[in-house]
Amino acid sequence: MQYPWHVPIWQHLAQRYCSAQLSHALLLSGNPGLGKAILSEQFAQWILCEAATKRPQLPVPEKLLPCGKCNGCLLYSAASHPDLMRVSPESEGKAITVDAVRNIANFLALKSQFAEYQVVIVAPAEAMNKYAANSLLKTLEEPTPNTLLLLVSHNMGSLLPTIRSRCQVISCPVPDATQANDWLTQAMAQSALPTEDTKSLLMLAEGSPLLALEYAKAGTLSSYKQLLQSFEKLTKKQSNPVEEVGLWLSVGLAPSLKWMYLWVAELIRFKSGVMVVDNNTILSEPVLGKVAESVESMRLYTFLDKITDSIRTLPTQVNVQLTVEDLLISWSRLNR
Amino acid sequence: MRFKIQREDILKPLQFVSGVVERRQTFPVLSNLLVSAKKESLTITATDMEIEIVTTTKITISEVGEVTIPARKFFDICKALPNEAQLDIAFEAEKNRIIIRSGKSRFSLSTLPATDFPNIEDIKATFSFKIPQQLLKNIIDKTQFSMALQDVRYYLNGLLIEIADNAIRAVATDGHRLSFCETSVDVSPSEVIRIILPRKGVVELSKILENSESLVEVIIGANHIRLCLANLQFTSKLVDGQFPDYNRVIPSNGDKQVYAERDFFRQAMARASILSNEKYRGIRLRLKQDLIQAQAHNPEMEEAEEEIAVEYQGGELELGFNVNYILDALAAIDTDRVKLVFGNANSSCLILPDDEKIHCKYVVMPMRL
Repeated sequence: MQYPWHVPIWQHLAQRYCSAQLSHALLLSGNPGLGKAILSEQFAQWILCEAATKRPQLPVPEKLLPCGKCNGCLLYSAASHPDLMRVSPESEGKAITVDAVRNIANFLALKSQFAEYQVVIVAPAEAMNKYAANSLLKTLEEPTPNTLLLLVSHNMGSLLPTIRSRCQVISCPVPDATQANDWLTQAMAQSALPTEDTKSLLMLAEGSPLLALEYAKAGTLSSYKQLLQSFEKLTKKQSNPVEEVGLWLSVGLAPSLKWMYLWVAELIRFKSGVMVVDNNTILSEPVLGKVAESVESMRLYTFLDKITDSIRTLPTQVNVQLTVEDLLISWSRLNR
Repeated sequence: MRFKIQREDILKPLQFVSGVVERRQTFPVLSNLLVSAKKESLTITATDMEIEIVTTTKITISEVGEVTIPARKFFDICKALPNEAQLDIAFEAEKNRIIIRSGKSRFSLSTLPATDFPNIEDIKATFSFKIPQQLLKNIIDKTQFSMALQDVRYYLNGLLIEIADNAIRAVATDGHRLSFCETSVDVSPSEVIRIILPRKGVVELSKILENSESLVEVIIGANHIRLCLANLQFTSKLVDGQFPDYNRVIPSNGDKQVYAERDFFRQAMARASILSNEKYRGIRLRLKQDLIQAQAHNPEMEEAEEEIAVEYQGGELELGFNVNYILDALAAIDTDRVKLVFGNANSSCLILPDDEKIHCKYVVMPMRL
């Protein structure tokens, strides 16, 4: 299956391939939940597929998919294709180590087994630690012929600039609202989920359809609403931070920080007068009004920076409870 | 698939292939063997994606078919069965199990489908020739010790095989020393073929080849090299790279020629090496009229000195070497006398067998002590 928003990227890559201009290192970048990892897998399979890679003539046909029947596709499906290597952290949240990256060099030093290309997928690329990233540089700079390195990243900024500059960046943009909404409605209907909340889900997922679908399955919307209520209560001084911390902790640090960022950003927009209150506004009007009246812009910006700092410390071993308490207390102090 | 086989008939092929199966596998199917029963033969294939070994045994097959079975367990079962036991091996397709029966024992092993197995069938041959096994084994054994080990210059982690008009050469180097060996064979490629065999393939190949006159067929493809022996087929991937031009490394302008008794010289070097620095292995050689003085010392200031009587007419020269490299070269030469050619204190030393008919050359770079 191909996601509709991948079609232009596919076309672009296939065109490059067919005209023998495919770069040896592609950096797929974009927000999480756009299916970049899936795209890299599909493209790898297509490159390894014996039927598809008999260069299609230009212009490239619209539907480009691996055949699924040839030796290459069968080995790919059995996860034993000798010309494909995947490099990922050993477990979620761990780093990709230098040994794993050295294995890439060993893998590419030998010629390919069946396919024309040898493909390496590094996902997520930002999981490479400093040493691993540095030892990938030589491979990126002097690849053996017929090598394709696919780096997948949803945080391109945290990659070494030397890595970024050695790759061709293929950015996966967020699909336009109608396309995303159509796809999400269909996908949710298929998994028998109620489809009325698609707009809010997409808003939560910042337009990434796959992430929105994941949210729908996990019922994230209801915890979002709870947190929003709690945030509004805090702002209106109807509750105190210590009572609310439990709820925030139960939702988890990563999503709560992200949402809080959205809310504060909206407050700033409202306060500066660039936003009109309409159906798409997240916070309720009394809350907006109250904050706009009592808090200076400067302090809102400072608070936004505080959230960003906390987001940055997420992957470290930070004390979750202290972080949330600190943020909530500063928020309620902020709008006295 | 179903066949009967005697324990000894399957044990030997299993021993050959199981060396290739690594314990730590990234792909589960690689810890399996591909067992395929064709009309009159049983072939067993093992691969680690770098090298592949296929063995063929002639037996009567009651039912043809192919499947992959866990290598280690299958081998251990066959080993543990009593001598001359008869094995009845059958594949139960509906349960995806392989059943091994022998006497009162019965084993049921899990399987993976044969299509999952990445065996190399056609290597798209570009050139092939036949050569007596011992000749090929000889040039490999005489050079392989100089291959680099996990060098970032990955093309040095292997052995260069060069096929030119009526000659095959093997060259290995790690950047500090170089081994070269040539043998004449009746081949005539349209242009010189240069391939690099990866280290692992070289080591495995030297184990497989025997010191016999029997011929081995060597097939070279774009990405692979394949050797066909009577019951065994060995395939290795090639290294994707350009080997340095070794001719520029072999010194040709050395004017100081030393002839020495090989064994005598080697023993003296081995004794002196005991007290050389354990990390750098440096040894100082001083060339004098009909004499080489060797001197080694270590960080504890312990010292070894050796005087070796040689045939040498020429000026005095003093230079340092890694003693291990000299010992390796001396061990690889099998003539009684060796010839050492020196230039000046900064040029490489060339070690040769004292026999014009043997085309082996060993180059050792000097080191600053």
